[in-house]
Amino acid sequence: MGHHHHTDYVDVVSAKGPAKVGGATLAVFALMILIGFSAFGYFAFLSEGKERLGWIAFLHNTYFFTLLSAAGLVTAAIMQVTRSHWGRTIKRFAEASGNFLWFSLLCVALLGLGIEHLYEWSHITEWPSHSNKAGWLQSGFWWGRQVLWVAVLVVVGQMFLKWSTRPDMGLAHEKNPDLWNSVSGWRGAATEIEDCQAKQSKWAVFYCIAFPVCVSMMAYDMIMSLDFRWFSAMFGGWNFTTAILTGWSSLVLITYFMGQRFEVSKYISKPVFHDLGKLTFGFTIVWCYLLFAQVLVIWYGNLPHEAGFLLTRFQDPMWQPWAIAVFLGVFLFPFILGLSKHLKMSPTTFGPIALLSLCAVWLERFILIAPSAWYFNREKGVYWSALPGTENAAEATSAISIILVDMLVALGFMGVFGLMYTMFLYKRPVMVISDPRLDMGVNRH
Amino acid sequence: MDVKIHEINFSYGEITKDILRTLEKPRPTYWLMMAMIVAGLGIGVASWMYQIKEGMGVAGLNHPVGWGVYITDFVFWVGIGHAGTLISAILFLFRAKWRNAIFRSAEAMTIFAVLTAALFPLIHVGRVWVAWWLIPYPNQRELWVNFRSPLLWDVFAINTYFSVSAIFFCIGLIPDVAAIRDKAKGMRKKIYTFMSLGFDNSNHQWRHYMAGYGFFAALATPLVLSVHSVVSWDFAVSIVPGWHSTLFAPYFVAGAVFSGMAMVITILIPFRSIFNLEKYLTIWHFDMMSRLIMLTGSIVTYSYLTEYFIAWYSDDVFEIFIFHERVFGKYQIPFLMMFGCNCVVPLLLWSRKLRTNLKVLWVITIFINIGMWFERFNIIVSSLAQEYDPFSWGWYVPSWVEFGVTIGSFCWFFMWFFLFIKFFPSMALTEMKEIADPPVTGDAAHGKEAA
Repeated sequence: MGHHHHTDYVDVVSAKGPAKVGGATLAVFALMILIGFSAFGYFAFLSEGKERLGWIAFLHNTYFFTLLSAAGLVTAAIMQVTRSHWGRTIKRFAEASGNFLWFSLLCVALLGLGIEHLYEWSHITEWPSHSNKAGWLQSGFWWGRQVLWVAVLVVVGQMFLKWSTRPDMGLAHEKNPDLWNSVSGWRGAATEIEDCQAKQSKWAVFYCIAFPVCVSMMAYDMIMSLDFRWFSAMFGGWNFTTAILTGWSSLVLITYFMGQRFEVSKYISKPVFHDLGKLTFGFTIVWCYLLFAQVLVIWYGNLPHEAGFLLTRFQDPMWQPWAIAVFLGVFLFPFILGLSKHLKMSPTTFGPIALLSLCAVWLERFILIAPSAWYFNREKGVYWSALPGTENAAEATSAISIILVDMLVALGFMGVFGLMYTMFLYKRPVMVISDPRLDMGVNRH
Repeated sequence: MDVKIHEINFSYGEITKDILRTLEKPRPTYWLMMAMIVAGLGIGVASWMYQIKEGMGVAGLNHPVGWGVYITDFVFWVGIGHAGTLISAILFLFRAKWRNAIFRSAEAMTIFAVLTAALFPLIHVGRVWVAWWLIPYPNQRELWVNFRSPLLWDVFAINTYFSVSAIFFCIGLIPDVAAIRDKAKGMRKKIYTFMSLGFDNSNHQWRHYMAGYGFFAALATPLVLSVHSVVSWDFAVSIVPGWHSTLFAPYFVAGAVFSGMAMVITILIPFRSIFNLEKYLTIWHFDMMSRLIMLTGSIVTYSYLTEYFIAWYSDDVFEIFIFHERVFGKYQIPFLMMFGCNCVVPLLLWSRKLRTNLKVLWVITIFINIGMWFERFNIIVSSLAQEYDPFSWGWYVPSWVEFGVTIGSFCWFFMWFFLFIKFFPSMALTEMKEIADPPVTGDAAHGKEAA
């Protein structure tokens, strides 16, 4: 790469003005949304005896995309907290992921309608006398908590985004008043930038605290409580770490496509992709480490109420192939391929690996959710669908049908994610042009 | 660069002179400190000898609490050993330039802390003269150690960690030792010549050296995670209430880094003052280290709260009982020490004003050291004292022998550190020069004084 220095990024980015989403892109998003949410609507509300298929898919995708969105924002917040230079060029791309959290709020609110189809505990009328879960796992209380966790992420995330985007919008307006709307109360770049940076840093810290707490609680409430007899203290930590992995891997793809779309690729040097590759690689290892740390303790302890969760996924022929696929996709292939510096340096070579990792994490969320939600009563060995009046799913030997519904619904979520992402990014400068560290980020070789 | 803004108030030419000043003939205060250390070490040795002579009965250990202060000390010292490799390896890979001034002393601390930790299994086995039975080796009686025991995994994990950390430390020392060699005379010159392995500052050597250093950094990084994870599994793979938790591995690792960083600060603040190294070890360095403590301290607090939440959520009467007893039972004081020192006191660090006041920071880090010792005591003793069957419950009180050995272990650690600062540069000459503005004239401009 040549050692020329870029200093024109403020002018170039601000001269672009707010962009419009193309008609074709909008049509694709609309189609995806139509297919995905029609599938969800059909299974969850219209099909008889298969409601749970729809709700599993909805819960799964709500969870995956909410964490993906929250994690995108946390990668930007981490850059701010650590005062790093390397990723400044792509910080706005990461921030835009956070816009989906608004939709997440709607989804978790809607999830209240699916509690009885998903959670065995919602049918328990008589808990043991000493049970703490009796109070914790009450439908209304549970629902309120989910809304609260996402609302906290939305509020704190929005404050972070507000102080991140404000000086960029103001600066862009100063440069090109015709293209960008003015920012209310703007006191000039010199004053605003310093002030906003300080506020942004403060809210980035708050977000970095809110993220692990809220995501952990969502993991315990939404996923762990599906199999409410089972518990793992690491489950929350493992889930938010996996979410951060998706934050980095998705950023590889987003950076590549958005860099090209907005013609700012020249500012995003190869080392940025190398760093993204290294972070994805690092979190891939951390994922495996945390998985191993859980599995070892449960396997060695060999307690019935703990081991069942693993046995279902590792030994039941219905789930085992998917569990293996998760291990290969989240860890083994990205680990082996990620060892190569050459592959990490370019999005064209590392992009597919990042995509594989993302898809495998999606499948990982599935394998955490579906077997728990599918079994109604593991102690009796009776499947949920074997309840009177429903088809006998106990005969099912493959999870394909469940995954297919999940994939259809995932299309809808991807459509919304894309729409929300573009609604945020296209209306703001695509790089953090007012950031004092951007210059170091652009001019690194 | 931030590092330029914060750090550079020294010139390239004075680095070697200033840093090597720590190797000069010790002043009386050094000898006084050393005498106190040796006296404390004497207490430790005497206590251990007494235990060897009289048997393990003189320690407070008895059924059901077979692990007490000794294992607490062991875990504590392994934890202290984490900061060095974190700073040397992980922060190196993260290109955090603030590590340059502190990594050498932190690495040395790692080696000495692991050496200290390694004493405790020997002390704890009682009949130390047959401790070699712990080593798996082919023998005629076909007696093997239990490979399924996490205690044995620990032997391997700690040996690997020590080996890699020691090699990493020695490799890092090579250019600096070569610099001392060039200035030393007599016997010292011969020793440093041997230790510098023929390093002559050529471009060729530097190229290989840097590649090797990066390689070792990558190799050492997973070890930071693995060692304390394995230590945590000494507890977690059992089904003892309060121990059997999937969270233990990352929780122990975060705690280890937390305590290790605190110890680094505890040592470096007086060290900086005694040797007048204020312009090299700036407030900025301590600010950065404090931030790392804030991060790891937050993870530790998250882990404590998660443990309590999961115990409550589990509806497991034994888990609930143990965690209730820790807060309200006989071992309430260790719990309060743990929680207060590790979760409450570090909150002061969130104030920039306080964390950049070195006197306050020093006191806070001492609290953290105390808190982390009590964390291990709290975990180990409270769970063993009141396991499942009330009939087998027992009350453990450490004996003076255990306290004597503990004092000795601290002195053993500090003895090595005090020896180290008189024989090796406690800051990396080469890496300090990397961040200083290079001279533009004279021999140094042609690389003749690269180190």
